[in-house]
Order: sequence, then structure tokens, then C-alpha cells
Amino acid sequence: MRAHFTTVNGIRTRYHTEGSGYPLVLIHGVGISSESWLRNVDELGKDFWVIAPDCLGQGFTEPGDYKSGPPQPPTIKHLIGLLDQLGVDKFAIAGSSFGAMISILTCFQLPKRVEKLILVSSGSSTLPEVELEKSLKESYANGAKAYHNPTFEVCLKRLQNVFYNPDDVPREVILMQLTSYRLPGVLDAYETRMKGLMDFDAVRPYRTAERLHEIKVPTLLMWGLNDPRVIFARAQEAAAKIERATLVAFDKCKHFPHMEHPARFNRIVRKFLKGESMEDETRRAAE
Amino acid sequence: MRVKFAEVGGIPTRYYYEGSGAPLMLVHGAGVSGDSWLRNIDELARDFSIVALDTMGHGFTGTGAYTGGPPHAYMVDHLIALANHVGFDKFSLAGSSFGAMLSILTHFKIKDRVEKLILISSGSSTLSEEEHLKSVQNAYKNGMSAMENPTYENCRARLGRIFFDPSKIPEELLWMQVTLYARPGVKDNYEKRMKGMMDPAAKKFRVAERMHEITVPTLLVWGLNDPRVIYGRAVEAANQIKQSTLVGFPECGHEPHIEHWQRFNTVARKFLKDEQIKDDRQFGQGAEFGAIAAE
Repeated sequence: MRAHFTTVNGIRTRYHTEGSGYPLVLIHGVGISSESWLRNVDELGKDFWVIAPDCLGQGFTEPGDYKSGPPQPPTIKHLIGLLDQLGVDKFAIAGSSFGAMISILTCFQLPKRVEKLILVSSGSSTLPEVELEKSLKESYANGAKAYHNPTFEVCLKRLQNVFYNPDDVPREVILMQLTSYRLPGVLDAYETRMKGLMDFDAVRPYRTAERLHEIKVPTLLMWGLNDPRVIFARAQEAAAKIERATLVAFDKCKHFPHMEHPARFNRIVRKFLKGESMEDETRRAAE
Repeated sequence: MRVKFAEVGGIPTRYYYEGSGAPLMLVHGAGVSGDSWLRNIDELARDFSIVALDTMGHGFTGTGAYTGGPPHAYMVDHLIALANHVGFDKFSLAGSSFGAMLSILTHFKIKDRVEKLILISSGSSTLSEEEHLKSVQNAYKNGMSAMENPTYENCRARLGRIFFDPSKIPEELLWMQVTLYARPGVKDNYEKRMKGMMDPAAKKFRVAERMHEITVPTLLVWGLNDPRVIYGRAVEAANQIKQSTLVGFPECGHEPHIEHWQRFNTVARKFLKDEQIKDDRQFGQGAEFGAIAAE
């Protein structure tokens, strides 16, 4: 596994990558960055070409021109720009939290290129507006503390709030945040993004919860049963609306199955992408 | 611990900081960064005001006007500029490897402002010219093995060669290096600095023959399994320094402050607080190490 820096539409961009063959794109959520896939990139890189970018204005990717409004369009434009630069044609895309919404919208925008979807613990994609508002406010309250005062303790506690087992929070992610949250413009970019997301009139055209029935590609949903950001019932409802959906529950798991239960997560993703039977996994909620 | 970015001496600079009290600046070695102190900053910040900088050309700190040749003077000037920037008037310095040499040179330049020195496993400061050249060549080769293709595995293998127990390498540090070494220009800058260290013009910066000029209390912490140093040279150096304490760390490679961080933090605190430490030369090699609690 290694990182790369490149320029996409004039925007300095970082991404992590490993492997070769069929492309699997991993999209992190708001307020975090591609380090969050640290337990997945190498493992999944054994079978796929894994590309985990820092999305626009997050991690070590610059914000470019994005200064206000819904973050979805410039984020997706930047993502597609990167994939085009890397020569990615058809691909599977996995998104965590808000990253799942980005994944669905990318699927809608590139129907001939996105072949499979993986949606991980995503309130943004599935909650009705009123519930999403509450969830975003809590996320913002939690995240803003870290962005405004990024000490090791503060950043650690912030993530511990959304991990079932606080000891599972990868310290690697925390150390990177101490620096990435201090890069010039990063605090502003976070505020802009969160304000953009909470302007519900402006983001309404980008909502996916009411469009889930439009998803035609095989879709894997993975959800923590203990996620404070989005209740599991919403995942079940979402899966029911998607034609070719498989829902896998993660017990003893809050908002980050890919970090909290990486071995199981990686195994399930590999099975899904290889078209193997998921019956074993859907029947239970743990290893 | 927390990070700040600032323009210091005209150079974009990153540094870690934490704590209040007597100021202590931590100076990492060649080819690494302020992140190397991740096991020390918060611990030591309980008693001291800590600053751990990325030195010129390292980590997220830029290169400023430096374009090649011996980097020593540029790095010392930048270090002093940072001390001024953070309001360190009188302060102590702890330097690892080449960072120890920079610490000594800083002491020579701003004599009365440096109160105490901690020199950690430093070949640059103590080896003969010939020994030092060989050591830097090995370090350069090792560093390039990571920088040429900074995969996680290469970064791990590179540090693994200088740790006694590679399982002690912090994962956080490796992840940081994966990003640091991927940035454009990093490999070229590293090459320039390492070649500058091996340049005959660097001779005037040698400190091994000037140890007797150190006028402040000095603690030497040496990894007894460090391939980059020779223990005998540490003894010679300590014997040259009026107020010196020498502590060897057994089962320890080139980074005692990481590999045996709890013991390092303890002995550093004791030293800075003028507490008694068992010197190797009186009590036997690694005596103090054996006396303080293990991790």
C-alpha cells in the first residue's frame, strides 16, 4: 500500500492505493479521510485495484474552488476527474457514511461505468430529511470540536464516540488528523461542507433516500447495529427498495464496520465483488 | 499533543507542541520528522513546554533558500528562528542522531540560551570522519529504500533495520511516512541533504573534536544495538564533557526514545529535574536502564 499525490483539475489530491485488476474505489465520509480505509486497502488489494482518495477539501486534498453550497457536485466532479486520470473505466464503488451518498450519485451520473455499489453505515443516503438533520447536527457537534482544537486527546475522543469499542480507534488515523486538520484552509472547508449539507433546500436535489429504487446495480449494504448516526431499521428499508440488494448487519459495531470489524468487512466485500454466495454472511451479524 | 503550521525564518514550518513549564525542544534525525517523538511529547509535556519541530527540509517543513551542500547552518538557523518564534528564550535541547549534532551546534551558536543537552544515539556527533562517512552512506542507502518507493512495507523495512525489536515501530509513524514520502520533491531533497552531510565541506561542522567546548549538563542516551553508532565513541565524548551522564539502553537500536519510550521519558525527566541517574561509567553499562521501570 502506498499514497500518491497528483493534480486533478488544478486541485492537489492525495489517494491511497494497492493492487491491480478490477478497480474498487473507496470513498470516506465527511470529517475524515482515506486513512480510514487503512484496515482494508492492503487486504482488498490482494484481489482488486483499490483506490481510496481524499475527497475534495478533506485529508490532504485541497478544496479547490468550493466555497459554498452543496458539496456533492464539486466532490463528484473531482472524483471522476481522478478516476479518469488513473484510467479507470468500469469500477465498483464503496462509500462510508456521506461517502455512500457520493457513491450512489456517482452511480447515477456514470451508469455505464459503475458496476457494483457498497453502502456502509450511511444516514445521508437513507434517512428522511428530519432525521438526517438531527444526525448531521450531532455529527457536526462532534466533528467541530476536533477541527477547532485538534489535540490527540480531542481527536481520539471524537472518534471514540462513534466506535463500539473505543480501543479499536486506529491511532494511525488520529496522528494524521493532528496535521491534516491544521493545513491551511481545512477548517474553513469543513465548515463550508457542513453548512452546505445542512442547507436542506439547497441539497434537496441531491438526496438519494427517495431514489433508491433507481439503483439497478448489485448493491451491498453493511451496517453497524449500534450506530448512533443511523438506526438499523433504515438500512432494512433501504435494502428493500433496492432491486438487487444484500444487507449485512454488524453486531457490536457503531459507525465504521470497515475499521471496527475489518476482517469480516474485507471478506464480505471480496465475496460480493466476486459474485459469491452471501447467504452465510446475511444470516448472522458477527464473525 | 497538537500541530502548528507557521512561517519561520521564511520557511513554511510544521511543529508539534504541548505543555507548559521549562522549555524543551526535540530535534529529530536525518530522513525522519517531528512525528518520531510521538511517544514522548505528551509524556514530557506533563513537566515541560515541548516543541518538536520538523527541521528544514523534513516532514512538512520546506527547504527555504537551501539548494545543496552541507545543510547544517541552514538547519541550525531555522531551529533558532523557531525557538524565537515560540518564545523559547532559555531552553533545553534533545536531539536524536543528526538532531543531536544540530543541538550541539545550536548550543555553540547561542551559548547562554541553551540550558541542557540530551544527545541520543548520535554517530554524527561522535564518530571519526571515516566512521561517520560509512555510517551516513548506510543511512542514505537505507533511507532511499523507503523514499524511492514509499510503500508501507518499504517504510517498515527501512526502520526495521535500525530497531532492535521491529515490533516496537509505531504504526502511526509508518502511516505518516507513507504520506510524507509520497510528496513531490521529497526524494530529491533527501538526496541533496545526505550528500551535503557527506560533503568534505561539512568538515567544519564536526563536533566530535569539540565536545570539551560544551558548557552545559549533557545526558547521552545510547542504543547498545544501534548499527549507526559506536558505544566507545559515546564514552569518549562523555569523558570530554565536563557535566555529562551516559546511559546505555540494552536491546535497543537507533531510536531509544521510540523503542524504549517509557524509560527514555523517565530518564529525560530525571535529568532535566537534576535527579540522580546511574552513569554507565560508574555503575556499569545500562545500569540506569535496568533501574527504571520497563514499559
